[in-house]
Amino acid sequence: MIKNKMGLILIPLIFLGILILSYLNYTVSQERQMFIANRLYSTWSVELVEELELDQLTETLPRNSRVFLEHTAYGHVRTFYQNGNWVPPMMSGYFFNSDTSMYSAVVGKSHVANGETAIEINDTTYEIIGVVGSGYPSALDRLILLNTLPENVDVLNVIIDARRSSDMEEISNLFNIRERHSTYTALDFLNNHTLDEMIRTNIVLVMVISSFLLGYIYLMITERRRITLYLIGMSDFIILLKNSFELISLTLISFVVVIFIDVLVGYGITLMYWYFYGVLLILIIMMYIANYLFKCLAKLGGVLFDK
Amino acid sequence: MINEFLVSFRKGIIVNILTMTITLLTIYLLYLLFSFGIAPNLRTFFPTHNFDGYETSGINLQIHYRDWEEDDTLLERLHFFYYDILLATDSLESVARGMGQPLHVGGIQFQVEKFDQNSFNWFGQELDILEGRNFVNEDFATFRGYFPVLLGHDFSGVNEIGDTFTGVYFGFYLEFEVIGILAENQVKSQEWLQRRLDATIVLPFVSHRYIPEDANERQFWIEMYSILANSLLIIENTPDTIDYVINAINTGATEIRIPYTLGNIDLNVPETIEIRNLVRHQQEIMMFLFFSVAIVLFTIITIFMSIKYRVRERIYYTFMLNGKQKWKILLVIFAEVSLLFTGVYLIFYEYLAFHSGFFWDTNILGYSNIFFEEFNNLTRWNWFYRNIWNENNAMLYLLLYVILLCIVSMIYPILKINKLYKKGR
Repeated sequence: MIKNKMGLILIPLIFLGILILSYLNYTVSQERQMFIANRLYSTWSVELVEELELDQLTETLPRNSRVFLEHTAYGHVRTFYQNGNWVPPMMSGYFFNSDTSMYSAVVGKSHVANGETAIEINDTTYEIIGVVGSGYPSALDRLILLNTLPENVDVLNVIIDARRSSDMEEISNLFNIRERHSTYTALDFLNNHTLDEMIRTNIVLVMVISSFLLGYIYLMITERRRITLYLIGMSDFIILLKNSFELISLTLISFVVVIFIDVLVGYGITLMYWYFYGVLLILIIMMYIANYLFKCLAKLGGVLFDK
Repeated sequence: MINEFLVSFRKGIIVNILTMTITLLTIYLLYLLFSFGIAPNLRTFFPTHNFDGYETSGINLQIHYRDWEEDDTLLERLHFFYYDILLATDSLESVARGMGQPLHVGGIQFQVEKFDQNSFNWFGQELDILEGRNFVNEDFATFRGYFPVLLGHDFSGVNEIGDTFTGVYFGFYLEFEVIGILAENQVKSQEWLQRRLDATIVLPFVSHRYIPEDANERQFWIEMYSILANSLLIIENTPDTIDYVINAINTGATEIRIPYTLGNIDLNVPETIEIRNLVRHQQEIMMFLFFSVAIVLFTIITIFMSIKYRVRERIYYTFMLNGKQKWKILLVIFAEVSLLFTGVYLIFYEYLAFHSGFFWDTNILGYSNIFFEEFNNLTRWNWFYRNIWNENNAMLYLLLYVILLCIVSMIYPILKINKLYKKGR
């Protein structure tokens, strides 16, 4: 099925896989830093300015958004609700989900320094189910997140957050909000958006152009074979299908290799990686077909392309 | 010869443009990753300041103001906030913060660093002065109608001690007098990062606790005191002290109707070593990304160039049949390949020259070149990082990368042409 000279495709494909792997690792790491440096808020989080009943607030909360009710000026004690499955950077334990009991807390590591398993807020005892934060000292160390609002507590700020900045439009339609001043911290250079966007845009561009070039290279190295198949009477469509199948096989081989590298390096990125790889695979095949069609057109047109 | 080259180049013009684009993209990306992620002595924020006396305590709190109530009493309230709340709070160790508003002198923008009395005591006193003198307490105490300034080392030879000049700062015309010029490589440590002062004008926050009649002048002082109200506080790291300071500021600020938020950097000074590990981790990630980009594009570009040759084999056959010598054909291919890559390199070089300072000088990350001496002393790669793997060599490495691309792209055509000529004989 896979003929010689395929190394010319397979090796760049493996490298491209490694690039995707390191890119995803970079993305995951950047996101993690953003939440740690910004006290679990994304940079697009907003503040609620109207007074709302808690039930009303949680019921109208759109999908994939979350709400933090800050009890203290410093935002160290907060009650948390979400309509989605967001999980902050965890050190151990697990985060609130539908099975969590009513009085549970997720805390920063300074609250469990002496092996505490429960925490008392306003005469209510909350069971500690997880530790949020990172190995290094951060603003999350003194954080207490509760899943039920304690009685007789004043809520100072209500912060609404969402998975993506684009989700904020829906939230601004639903609630009366204002923008927050993002917190500048020493770790800010790790989640600098100008730099981040420059790197991300460029890498995505590089992936697209690489796919195009790989499609072109594949077209060139299979040329003779294609002509032979054509001469023995195979239709263009079947040849395209056959080649696409070969490309898929090559990509899957490179995928296995990169998974192996992933295990060696210990990044453990799997689900997102699958998704990205699928996109890449489709991209390469599309580029191949585009190249193929372009070449056919060029043949018709005469001297448009190389030959 | 030239004719052959033109024929060859024109035939593959689309492919050539594509190659140039992707190569340009590659070196841009490599430059970006190299600049920000890799050189460990670059753009990292570690202090060389040793924070004497704060080894066992010290926590940073960042205050942010928001939504001033703009009325006639604003300046008065800001005065009160700075002098009677921030400075008077018992546990407050220091106030230090500057914002990056540039100073315009004769239509040119200059980067400005500022010290108030407290931050000067912390960070400013150890600045090395080349000529003139450092600030003294009197410089902060009263406003005498002009600002005494220190100039960075880049100004030496251009300005002299005692020079006066007029500049626009926060939209207000001000007089400045040069009192000293800094020695080379001076830095201001602040918030775990350092700003290099070589191309900077250093201003003192001169105390000015009265309300000017003139609206412009009043606005200027509002801006100055707003900066002070957005302070970085370095306070003792005990829960009681932190709560005390927060409450004091909270109560005081509410009284004078200045809403504020306290941003937090819960980083203890003695634990900076942990942050270093984090940064190293992040740099490793960027380094992995850097090498992935370098390798994947190197492979794809070289294979693509070789394939490109194969596509155009027929042109070279024609040249052969016309009796061209082997070296001439090779020269045509070499000219094309080198033109592509050197063209790309020069475009990029010009782009950087045109945007000079885009990467190195301006505050794209909020801070300029930083040299991490302490880290360099700790690591056994000291020499390597200082002399080989630093930002000054970035363009050199890109040049080497491009040359390597040229060489590897030539291997296949050379082998092929040799073979053809052997067969031909």
